[in-house]
Amino acid sequence: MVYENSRGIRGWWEIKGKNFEKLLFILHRLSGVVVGLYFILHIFETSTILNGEEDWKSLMEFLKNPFAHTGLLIVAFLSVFHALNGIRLIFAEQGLLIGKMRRQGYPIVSFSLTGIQRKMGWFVILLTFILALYAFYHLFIVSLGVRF
Amino acid sequence: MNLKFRILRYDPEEKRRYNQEYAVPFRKNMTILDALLYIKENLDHSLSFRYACQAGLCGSCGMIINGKENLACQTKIEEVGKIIELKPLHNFPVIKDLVVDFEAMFAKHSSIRPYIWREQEKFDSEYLQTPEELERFIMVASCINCGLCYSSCPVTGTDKLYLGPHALAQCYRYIMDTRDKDKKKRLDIIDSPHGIWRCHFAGECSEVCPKGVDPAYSIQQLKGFALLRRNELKRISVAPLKKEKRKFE
Ligand code: SF4
Repeated sequence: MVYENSRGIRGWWEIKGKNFEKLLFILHRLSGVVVGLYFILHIFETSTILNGEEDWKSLMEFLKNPFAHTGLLIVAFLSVFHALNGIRLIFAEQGLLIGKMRRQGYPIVSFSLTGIQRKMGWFVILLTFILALYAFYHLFIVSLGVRF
Repeated sequence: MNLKFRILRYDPEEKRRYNQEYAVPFRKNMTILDALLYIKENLDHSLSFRYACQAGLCGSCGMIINGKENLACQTKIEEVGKIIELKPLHNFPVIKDLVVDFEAMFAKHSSIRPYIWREQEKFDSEYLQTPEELERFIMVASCINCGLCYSSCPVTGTDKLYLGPHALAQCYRYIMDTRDKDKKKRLDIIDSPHGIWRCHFAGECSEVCPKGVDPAYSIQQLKGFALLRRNELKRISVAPLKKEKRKFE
């Protein structure tokens, strides 16, 4: 009797000792799910306008608080990441920017994990933080009037 | 100095998984396989593991060493520390202790037809190939079927039908081989939801491959061929038989 030793869904989230692309893979999945769920909520949110201006305004007032804006900041961070990493993947999954076939020598290095796509990955993370900072400025400083 | 080995064992008769610890005396330049052989000879004859060449060529001794897929014969104790955790490869059924069943992986390998494929085969002469043409796939041809990539792939863990990095890399190897003729037919086999499109470029296969086959590279190239670069396949010339005339002769 054998033991089925499948990694299952647990394998998607394992990050300890893994490569940088695996981190991006996890973030891409996570951001896709979170942004997808947000879109559903967003449809409910915007549909309140059908009940008239009163309802819409009171909902907007209700959502103007640090908790809701923290949620929006997380959604902004994840959607920016998902979009930018998506661009990296469009290139990489066409076989572009992942190096060129060559005979291996020692020490062995898999060049698809060292090519331009990896630099793009770091750039994606940097740009995501910069744009999330911009979202923070609008959500907290402009909209909620937070002062430091 | 003694090393501490914690091995995840499986007893198929009692269907029981358990950790067992062993103390192994350290020797300079000792590999994980050396330590396993020491345990087998001196401490516990019932421990099962698979090995053959002891030189990183047969691909038999793949296992998870301190959380990462590696070949036991190629991993030195100095690289991993004094406390060593060994587990059988993931995504393969475990037969006993560290021995896993490769059948599913080899069946997928067979499904991509891992041999030169021409409509009319001629056996009276060899096919010609230039050294440059060989360089186009030599990296992928060094695969030793060890299954480390198959174990590390997060997608293989959730989709049993997924062909997996090993078979897909080998498909790329034959597509790039000028002796192979029907590249489009090959592409049709893997251009499916459980073929190349299931890969999401997590890159773990390339990270663990002990031979630098870089399956992630091959799979992304195959996607490129399937989507936008089908015509590029036409440019991969077909090697003639030795008897036929060829420019480089
Ligand atoms: S591609 Fe690399 S890791 Fe996968 S079976 Fe071949 S040698 Fe092993």
